[in-house]
Amino acid sequence: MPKSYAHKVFPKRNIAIFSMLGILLIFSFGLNLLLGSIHIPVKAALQIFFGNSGNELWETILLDFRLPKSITAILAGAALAVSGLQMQTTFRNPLAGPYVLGISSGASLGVAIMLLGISSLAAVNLGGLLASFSLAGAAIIGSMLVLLVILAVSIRVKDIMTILILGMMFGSAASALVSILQFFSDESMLKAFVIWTMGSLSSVAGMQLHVFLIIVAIGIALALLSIPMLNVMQLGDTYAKGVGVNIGLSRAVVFLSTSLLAGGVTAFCGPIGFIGIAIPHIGRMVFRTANHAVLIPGVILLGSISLLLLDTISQLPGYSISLPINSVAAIMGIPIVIYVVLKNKRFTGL
Amino acid sequence: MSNHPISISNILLGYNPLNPLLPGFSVDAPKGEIIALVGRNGIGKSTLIRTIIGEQMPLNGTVCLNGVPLKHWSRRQRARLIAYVPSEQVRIPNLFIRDFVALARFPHLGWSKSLGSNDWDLVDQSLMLVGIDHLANRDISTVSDGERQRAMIAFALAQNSDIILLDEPTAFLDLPNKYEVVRLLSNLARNQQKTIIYSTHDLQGAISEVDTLWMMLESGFVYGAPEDIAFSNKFAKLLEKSELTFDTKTGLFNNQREHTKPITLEGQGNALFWTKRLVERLGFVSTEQANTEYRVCCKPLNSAYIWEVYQHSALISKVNTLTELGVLLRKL
Repeated sequence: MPKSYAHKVFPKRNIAIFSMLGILLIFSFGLNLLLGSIHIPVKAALQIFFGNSGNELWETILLDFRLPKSITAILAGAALAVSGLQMQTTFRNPLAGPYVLGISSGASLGVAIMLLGISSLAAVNLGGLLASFSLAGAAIIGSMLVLLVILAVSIRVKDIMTILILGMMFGSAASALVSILQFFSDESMLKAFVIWTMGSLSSVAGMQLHVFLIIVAIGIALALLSIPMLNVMQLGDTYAKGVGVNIGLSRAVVFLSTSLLAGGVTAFCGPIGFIGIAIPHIGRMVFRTANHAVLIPGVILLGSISLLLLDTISQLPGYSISLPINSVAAIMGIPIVIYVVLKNKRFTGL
Repeated sequence: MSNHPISISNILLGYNPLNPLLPGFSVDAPKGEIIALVGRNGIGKSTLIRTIIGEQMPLNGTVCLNGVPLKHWSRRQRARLIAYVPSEQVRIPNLFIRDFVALARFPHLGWSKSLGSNDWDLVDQSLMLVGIDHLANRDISTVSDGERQRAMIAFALAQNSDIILLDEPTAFLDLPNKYEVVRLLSNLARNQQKTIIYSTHDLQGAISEVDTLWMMLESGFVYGAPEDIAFSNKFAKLLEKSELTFDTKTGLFNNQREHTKPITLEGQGNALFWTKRLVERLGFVSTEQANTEYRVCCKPLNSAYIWEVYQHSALISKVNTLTELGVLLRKL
């Protein structure tokens, strides 16, 4: 008798959860577009999207500012959640996150050299768009350098804990260099750097958004390709080798994906914390599975929704000021992490 | 060259060529046999297992699988031929036992790594063979150690390999589970015609179930049927420098004791046997001569027993249980 096993991967419960998350994503996307310092009514927004409305100010705000920002939030949320999940699985450590390999520290170093080093040495003030593009470029170069070191190490070093420790050490070394640069830099550049570290979703637009989209798409595609390897690797190296997984290659793909995702987010939005650690836990709790074929799409949705909602909150709807996204993510994210940790005390293995 | 599933020739194990763990040796593992790998801690049992699965290079010598040297097998081919059950316990939350066992199909799947209905049938069959099909939808981090060990064996079965290597599969188990798991492995070797090698410290359990013992000793590698090793008194070498002795009459491992005080025992059957065990544990030598200082007489009384203790043929005490007898004898 032929049996159907499709229900094993996507049982009814998961289908219901995915549908609910889908609706929630559309809802939070809409909310993010409509709310802000200026409230745009739903009707007006729909008119702007499907034809033209009379209000040019609203059209500009919606299409030129809020839409790119909302898309950035979706991409960044998905990227951070997927990279965090991959790191927790690969390192079999619940505290691992997108930045555990030192990738954001590398990006910070790149930005710091750009902002604090080169500009103060050359005494030129990089202005406007050029500055923001070169910031992203510097961050990407910084994180790629860290990635190359990590890949070189992971080929030679077999033990995953050693790689984790080395990653953290590279990160600390990069942070130390950033501190030295900060110490010697002038006030305006220092402020620009500090603002970059607070994170922002609103500085990605036009060409940058395309680049960001491509980076995130490649990163997530690599993660999707890694699903079977991730499922086996979470059992530990001995099992993974036992069933014939090429550990070195699989890890390299995971590290490349993580670097693209975490490095891309850091480059375009600054180092946004907590999403990458909290969302994978929430995903495991919600879906009650260890299967990455479910977890990866799940955390993509959860990550996007979370960052959209966090951004909506950080915009302080109705006020003309906004809070740094990184701080809001931390303040909202920490209680969630604490709740998750207290609720599932069993973290042995993962 | 033999075509046994595993054939090891002139292998030298260790990390330092000048100081190998034990002298070089050759041995084969035939089809359908269960083999227990025993030896003191640190002698290289894990090293041997890691060498057979290709995780570690030997200092010298070769390992052949089905007559072909290990290095000619690709990672994937090797995974289809050998399943390895490590000693680390899998305790991943939210991982269901059926999904865990399904991961063993990895080396048999196409590029998409999705399981067909044949694969799932094999997974369910493996769960059934180890007797945990009722736990298929349980979270592996919430089951008992015995159930988890069975799930790990089911994983090896689902890998559908001719050879299964297990690193101390009984280490975490209680006594009944230890026996049941070894019994399960020996049935699998016989009925599924698999070659099963497991390392263990539980010699007593091994000698009653396995076909062959591989004994790693500092002086060299010894192998053979457990009865042969017992009969030719080779266990003595394994137990060198320890307090244990192997009783070739009973097939039991005993703690060596200084038996000094002679004692006379009278009685029959089981009662006499366990009384003898008790007095020997307490350092007496049991004899059947009647001229010793102490004498213990166990007699049936109604449906129970009574033990009478005599000193120079004068009755000094009567007790109803062996526990009380033990308390009494310790004071003498």
